[in-house]
Amino acid sequence: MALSLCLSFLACAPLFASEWSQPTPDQLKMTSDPAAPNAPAVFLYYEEIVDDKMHFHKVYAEVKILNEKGKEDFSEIEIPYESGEASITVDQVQGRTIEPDGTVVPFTGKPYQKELLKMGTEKVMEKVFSLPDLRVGSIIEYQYTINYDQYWYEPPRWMIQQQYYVHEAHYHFAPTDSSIPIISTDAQGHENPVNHLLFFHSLPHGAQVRSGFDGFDLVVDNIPALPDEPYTPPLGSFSYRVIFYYSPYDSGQEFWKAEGKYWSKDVDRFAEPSGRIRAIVAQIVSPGDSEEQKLEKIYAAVMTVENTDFTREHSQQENRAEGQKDKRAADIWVNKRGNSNEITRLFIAMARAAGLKTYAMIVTERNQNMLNLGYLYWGQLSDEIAIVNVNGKEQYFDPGERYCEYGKVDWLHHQMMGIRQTDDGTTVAEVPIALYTDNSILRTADLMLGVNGAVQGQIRIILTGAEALRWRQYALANDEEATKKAFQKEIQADVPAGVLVKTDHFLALTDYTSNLMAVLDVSGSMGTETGKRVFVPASFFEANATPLFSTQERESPVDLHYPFIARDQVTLTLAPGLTVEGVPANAQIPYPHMADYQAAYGGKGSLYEENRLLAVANTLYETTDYPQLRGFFQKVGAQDQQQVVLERVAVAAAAAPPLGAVAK
Amino acid sequence: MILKAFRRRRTGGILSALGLSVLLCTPGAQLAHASKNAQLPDWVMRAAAATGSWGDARAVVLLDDTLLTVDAEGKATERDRMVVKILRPEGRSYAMPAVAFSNDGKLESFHVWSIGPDGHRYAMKDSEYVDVGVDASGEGILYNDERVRTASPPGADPGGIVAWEDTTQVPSYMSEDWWDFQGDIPIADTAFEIDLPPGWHQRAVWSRHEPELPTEVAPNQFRWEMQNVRPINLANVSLAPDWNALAGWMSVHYSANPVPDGGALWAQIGDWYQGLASPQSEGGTDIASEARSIAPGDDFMSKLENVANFMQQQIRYVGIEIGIGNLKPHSAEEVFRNRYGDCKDKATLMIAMLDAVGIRATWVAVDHRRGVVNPAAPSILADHVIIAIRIPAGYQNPLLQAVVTAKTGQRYLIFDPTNQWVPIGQLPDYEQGGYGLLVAGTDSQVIQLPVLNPNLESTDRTANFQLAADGTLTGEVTMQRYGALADDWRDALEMDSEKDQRQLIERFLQNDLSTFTLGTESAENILALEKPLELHYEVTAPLYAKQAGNLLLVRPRVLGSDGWSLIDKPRRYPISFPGVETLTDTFNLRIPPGYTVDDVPDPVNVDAGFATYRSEVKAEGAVLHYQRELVLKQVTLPPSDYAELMKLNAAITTDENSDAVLRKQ
Repeated sequence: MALSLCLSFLACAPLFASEWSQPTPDQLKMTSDPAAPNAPAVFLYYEEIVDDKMHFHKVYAEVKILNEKGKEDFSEIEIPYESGEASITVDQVQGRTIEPDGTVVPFTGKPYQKELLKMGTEKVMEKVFSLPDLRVGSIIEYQYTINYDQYWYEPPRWMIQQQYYVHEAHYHFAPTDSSIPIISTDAQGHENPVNHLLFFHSLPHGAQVRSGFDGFDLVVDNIPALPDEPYTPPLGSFSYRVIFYYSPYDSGQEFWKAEGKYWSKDVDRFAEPSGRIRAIVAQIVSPGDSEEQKLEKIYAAVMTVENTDFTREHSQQENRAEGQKDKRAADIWVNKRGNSNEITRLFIAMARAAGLKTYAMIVTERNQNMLNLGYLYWGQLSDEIAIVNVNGKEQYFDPGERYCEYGKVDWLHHQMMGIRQTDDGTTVAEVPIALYTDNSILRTADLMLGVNGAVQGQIRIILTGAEALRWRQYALANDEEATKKAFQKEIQADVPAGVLVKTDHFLALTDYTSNLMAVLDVSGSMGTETGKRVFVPASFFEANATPLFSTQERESPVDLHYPFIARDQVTLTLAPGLTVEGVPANAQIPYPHMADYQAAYGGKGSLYEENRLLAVANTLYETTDYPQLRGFFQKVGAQDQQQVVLERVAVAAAAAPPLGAVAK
Repeated sequence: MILKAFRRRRTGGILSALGLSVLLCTPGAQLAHASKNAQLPDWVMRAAAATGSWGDARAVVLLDDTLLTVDAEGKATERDRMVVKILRPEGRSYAMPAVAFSNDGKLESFHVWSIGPDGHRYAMKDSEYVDVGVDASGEGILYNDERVRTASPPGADPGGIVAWEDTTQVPSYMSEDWWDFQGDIPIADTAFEIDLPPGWHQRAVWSRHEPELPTEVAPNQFRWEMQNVRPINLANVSLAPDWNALAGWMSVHYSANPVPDGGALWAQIGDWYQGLASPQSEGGTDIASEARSIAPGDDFMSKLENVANFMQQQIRYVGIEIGIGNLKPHSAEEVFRNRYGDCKDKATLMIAMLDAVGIRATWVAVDHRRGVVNPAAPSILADHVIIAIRIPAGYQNPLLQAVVTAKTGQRYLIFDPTNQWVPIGQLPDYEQGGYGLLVAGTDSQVIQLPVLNPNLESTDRTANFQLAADGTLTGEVTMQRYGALADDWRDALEMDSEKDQRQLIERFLQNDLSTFTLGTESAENILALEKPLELHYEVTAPLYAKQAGNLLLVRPRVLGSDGWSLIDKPRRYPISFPGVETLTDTFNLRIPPGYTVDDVPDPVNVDAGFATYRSEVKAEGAVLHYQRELVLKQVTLPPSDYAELMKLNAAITTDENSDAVLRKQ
């Protein structure tokens, strides 16, 4: 009998230890851990024992609580699991608390069983318990076993690097008997007989998974906690871990080739340039169009299709009610609705129908995950983009990102590795890097300042690339009114105190072929005064901004997401009675090969002008680069806090404006 | 300006296989078997036909109709009908059918219908509904038995209509039901109806709305109706009270016996709660022994402090709420044994421990959202339990600040054992000025919780800075925080590692300094609640002073912001501050050699009645002295005070951003 094997995620890895450990006196009296000076808690010992022959996972943990946060974090022990086909149960839940004086307080209660989710016959459950008399300085121990039925196999995913420092850990895996026939269902739904037990590993230097007669063992020690910092690349893709899986494949090369073939076939089936598609394309392009013209027209047509990832996924019943059948590219066009990947495939189909050599590529999302070819799991890949050969040169397109500019891809896909179609199959490829000129921001302000500080004027902000896409997609998921409010809120946060901005209108909010422009009205007041002088911020758009990085220490690399160039041009006309006394010196803050900043200030009589440029060309920084990167943004921030000195001057009585009047 | 990201995720992919959250967020596409062009109930079709003008609302409730049926044995069931029309994309979230249920409040039926913007009509099937456990672990609730049944109906797009009907059993221990007739979107038509058995009584109480009389639609069956109820939308309203403290509601108390009104009803509710909670506070010898051990002697205050300290430091917050456990505390014995419990459990154990050392105390049901408990609307509605400790007649102690006097003349000290950072004698800022139900048997009453003296709730920042000619500022800063308002810093500092503490200060400094290096830092008295929390640190800020020709501009207010983020729009809602407080800054800034003070900002002196603000910069030789003080005396203000608050805020903002001018000699 062929048994099914589920490679799906088991909600939590299980545990084991036959007896409790005996903490050392040093461990009992420890109040902080020199190995992890800032840790709220540390794992003194952690163990996972998995036996796929006996169908259980056991977990044992010994944790030292070092501060209030650690106490709070371990106040509740949660063991989630799926209760469905595998008949999973959580048993033998035990725990105890050991006080710093060695007193042992056993957990004598029963864990509570919660139903987290019930959908049809599928249930996600959780067992929860709280250990008694937990306090800072306590050591807690707990263990439990997850059992699953005899027809189910669940090779372990050992996430070696956790939220907390691990002093020592032991992992053991006894795989199932290889003579038992197992069928593996891959991420694309194909079933194949399993031939191999494979594992992907990322381990600290010196650590090694050892294979023995009874399975696999791994002993590790001194594993640092995963950092939690802003602007990090997806660290989950780099953490220490070992992932076992039963596989029908001999090697990574074979896996990616075979799975790529499945995927490619599926793409080609969906994106077949059928007669329907050809008829549609014939109405969009003209016979005399160049390749570029054809593609631009097709892209424009595809961009009119509703992307349900930004609106609402529709049920099959709804689709049927509206006449949708089995989905192919032509159906997406006819119904004017599809998700991101379906729309990408529609674009591919139409480009192919127009005679353009077009390939699909599937990649990860840069802020979520990075492809690891050593891990033979297709599900790492999620987003499809298109590659079109135009006039002999390949160009990348991202039609699944509605309103993405022609010939560009969303920053989530830049530099991402993936699998692409080729003329003779599929291959591993990487999406080209973006240039800072691809993403531009031009902010202009034309302002007038009254003698009493009242300010009036208008702001125009022109966006291209990532920023334009962000706001256009925001409007898709919301609407124009909500977008106006959200936009002005962002601008408002950084302009000088007292200044009020209000979005009047957008231009080209739904037209990706034009630059997106926002026009905002400015009112309120600006500046401070002493008896003799008035001061106004030299950098209008950044007067209230805070630098990007405040903390001096950094443990993880930095990903600034996308390169960009931002220019500001501000003109401030002063009312009679005010004149420019002094402006800051022009400044240049270089960060060679990475970023650049320039600011120029001009002031004469009743006119002040500011020109500011900030360009970030590189987006990925090693941890060792952090001091320089932080220093650059701090210097920029300091420069943006410069002040313009205005002087009050006498005006002829007849010409003096009333209080609060603004120069015309 | 940069690096913002609103992201939605594409469907599929590795993460969708990993997370419950993804499951919960995914519409029911894969399950959808809803029948198309179904026959919809008449009440749905009638409501759907409604037309009106709802401004820029995201959605509108076309119908919200509740029927509470009570049988002769007091068993009650509630049937709710809801029809929502989506007007804008953001309105989709309002059209998510959901009904809460539990083991004591079983769900008897749930039906969902929808009408797409194109007119297609759908009826969902039972197999398409999803049950989700209510996860309150973020609030420290380890386990509760509440679940929500929900659905993702077809056609839920702008222009579409979603309707649902559910029937649930009302837990047998409840004798009050609520009509929330106001929402944050318009409600076109809403009704509440109660069908009582012959001889039963009802009493309606109203909060934030004038009482309205019901129609007796059948013998002992009463119906209240409202149309076109204006929404309360607090988006972009700064210093707003909690939404629940503004929205109108009505509750109906029902009983086989006559239901009293006003204070008598409060007393009845309190008496009922006392019967529920009181047996749980009967502590055993172990509790008594522990209490006498930690709180020996006869001194009232020291006994209080010791027991309070035990509760705050030794009993952690863990909630287990099953059925009536939402209201009834666990036994003091159990809480003592486990060393954990939720707010009512902690209150109960503290009452037992105090009792063991001869001090009497009782429960006070409050809501941590000031204004939710309304003295005009007697109700069990509350989300938190604290305690009231009887103060012996004639006893006086300046440490006892949070004192109320009951109608009986008994003085009580109000204390919250759940907040581990506010010392006995004081009260967390979020509870000050609110109301609560003092549980005292038939003498139970609603009480107003005291607002403490702003002089006791103070933050003093003092600093000595040295400015170099290149604009670099160096200095040492000390912050002392007194009173209940220190709880946030105490909590953050105690919870954080040393690295986190540094980052906390760095984030604070980032608000005022573009470039800086934090030097040594230390915190004192984090756990010593009777002393002010102290924070000391050194900071260096290059480029702090700005060059303008031969002038050097320097902001005397180096650190800290006392103002608020206010919007210049007419104010409809009251103003709510976190708490009363006094903030003082005293900074001395030595200017670089070779410079003289050429100009300083004018002094500021504003008295807005509810608050005062004074600020002054003085030059004495080579030192600039900056001193300011904000005293906020009230926790809430009427909307009419908003203009005055705006003026005050403008004065503070201007002062905070003002520069002194140094001239090179």
